[in-house]
Amino acid sequence: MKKKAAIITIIIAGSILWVLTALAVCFRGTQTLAFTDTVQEAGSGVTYVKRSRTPVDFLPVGNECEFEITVDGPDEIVPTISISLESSKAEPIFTKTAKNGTFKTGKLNVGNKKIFLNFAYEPLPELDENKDYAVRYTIKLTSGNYALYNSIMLTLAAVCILPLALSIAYLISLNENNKKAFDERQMKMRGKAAMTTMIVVIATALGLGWFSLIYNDFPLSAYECLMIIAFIGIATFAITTDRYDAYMGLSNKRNVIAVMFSIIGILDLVIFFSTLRLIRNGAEVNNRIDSLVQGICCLSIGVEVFIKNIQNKTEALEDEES
Amino acid sequence: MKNLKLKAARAALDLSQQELADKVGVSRQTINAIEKGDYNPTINLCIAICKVLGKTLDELFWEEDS
Repeated sequence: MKKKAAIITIIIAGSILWVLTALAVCFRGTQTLAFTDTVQEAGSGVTYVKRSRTPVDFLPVGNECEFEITVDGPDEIVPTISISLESSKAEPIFTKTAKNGTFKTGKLNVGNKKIFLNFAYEPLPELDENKDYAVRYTIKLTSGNYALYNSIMLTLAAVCILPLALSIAYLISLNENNKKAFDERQMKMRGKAAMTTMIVVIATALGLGWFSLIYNDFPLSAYECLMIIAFIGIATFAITTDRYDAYMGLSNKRNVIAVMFSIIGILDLVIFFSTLRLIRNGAEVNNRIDSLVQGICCLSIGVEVFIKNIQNKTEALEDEES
Repeated sequence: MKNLKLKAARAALDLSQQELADKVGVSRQTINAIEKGDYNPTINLCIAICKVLGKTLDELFWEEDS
């Protein structure tokens, strides 16, 4: 392997290991969730103006866990926080009316089930009608099993790093060219593809920002927005560079690339639509729009690589015949 | 405008687009784009093609006024 590729491998592997170690040290079996809800006294009771997360839930973390909840909001608002298992409508295993400050739930027996947190607000006479009250919650969940899960995942990730870094270095080395002359058309096309990608990414970011301003109940979190922008950017760059034949490395093993991306795309779409079906049947499932976008992007790359492969073969055949 | 001179010179040596591309160190699509007139090659690439095909720049790339 070339020296540059080896250096890139070491840098990538080193950086990821460093990040994973930092994460392992930082989290230690704790997951934190912070969000802000805005409520209003509407005459008939306290109603939500804006909910950041619906529902507030955690995946199973073993038999025992402990919550540390911080409430930060106006003094007039007194939320009642309850914790239930398997469904937000189930009988609560813990309930507390909390003013501003931090409290701990103590050890809770959660039986390795999904955990739901529910928030209710008393209609107090001090509340002004039609005035918005913002309450910020910081929820820390500590669990021994979660720490074990984290350690296993980090170990698995660490095991996967070297092959991943080697694959990236190999892909980069495919496009290295030590010859004095180089394909200037490809260089030009890479610039064109980068410009197209930049325009699409900016348009997507602005579009999402515009929607979040217009709709009060904008359903996407910042993470989902970032993932959508990233995937649309990656897909645009991959498709345009391939359309323009901007990378020689892409011309090899096209069928493998097409099949790989198509499978990832189809799996993502299957996951998205199966969660839609679960929601229709009344289950409380987080439906991730970013997995839909990811699926469409991967499938588009797969289909484009496949079509381009056929076009290339046809062109080469026409050339042989003429 | 299509570069039929290049295509003819390549065909005379019984070279495919891929073979010519490999010899001059570019992609087959680049040779295809030059022949179709979709891409104006740089002088370096023109010289490299001329050397492989044994022709001069005039013979391959000079356009006669019609």
